[in-house]
Amino acid sequence: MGDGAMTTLTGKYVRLRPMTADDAEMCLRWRQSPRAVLLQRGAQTIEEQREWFERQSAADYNWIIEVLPGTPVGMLGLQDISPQHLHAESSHFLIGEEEATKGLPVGAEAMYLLYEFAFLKLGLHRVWGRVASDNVQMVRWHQYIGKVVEGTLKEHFFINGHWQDACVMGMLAERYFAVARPKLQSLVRSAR
Amino acid sequence: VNILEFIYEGIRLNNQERDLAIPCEPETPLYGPEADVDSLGLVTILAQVEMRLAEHGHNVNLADDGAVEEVPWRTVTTLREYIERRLG
Repeated sequence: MGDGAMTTLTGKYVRLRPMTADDAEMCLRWRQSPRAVLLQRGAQTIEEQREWFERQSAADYNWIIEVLPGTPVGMLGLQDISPQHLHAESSHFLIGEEEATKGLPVGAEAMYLLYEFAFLKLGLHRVWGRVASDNVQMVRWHQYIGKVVEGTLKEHFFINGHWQDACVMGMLAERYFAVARPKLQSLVRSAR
Repeated sequence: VNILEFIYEGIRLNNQERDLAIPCEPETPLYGPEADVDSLGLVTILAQVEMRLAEHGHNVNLADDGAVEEVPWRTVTTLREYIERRLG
């Protein structure tokens, strides 16, 4: 485990390519868009965005989501990978260029590529994540795909001017292959 | 069971949450090159429809293998027809 700066994952419509420091300005613009208002507070300047990138562990995976053949539209990560416990946290899932993703299964295929990598390539047992409780659509989306709401961290985030719970959601490998994978494949394969 | 209204409820919910104005009309494209809906929005619509169907005693998984062959969510009408077939 741990070649996050080198791993590219390619699907039918989407490619996940490693984020670089040169992506800082673009990522900052996405983070400051209205759609990102329910995410954890991110960098406020390009320098902070670059510093954030420099702080990332070499063992983490930070990807730019590109619509093929190569239009960057968002970001996605897999971090805190535990070789002992075989779990990792999926993080900073954000589509920053909505117009470029209309009619396309970008979110579905990006998560499909992440899960395939996590469970098949890395051999993880569990992928989990935290979503702010006000982000109802994202909680519903993950639930529909097959993630399970496992618990709540009370007032874990201060986002958008008030305290919000963190909805802790998890996907075990067994559930991924039984429930989530067929749904994601269906959403991706039926797009065109 | 008013399937068309359930689909429109899903479209209105997605419009509300994403500040969109996708029309509630039979020929509205839901997925593919002509659509204004992305996969996040499509899931919002499907989840709403499945929840309303379940409230009426119909537990249906719309995004299963059968959907791949038919591509049922091309438009509101094709989705309605697909659900009607699934409900028998």
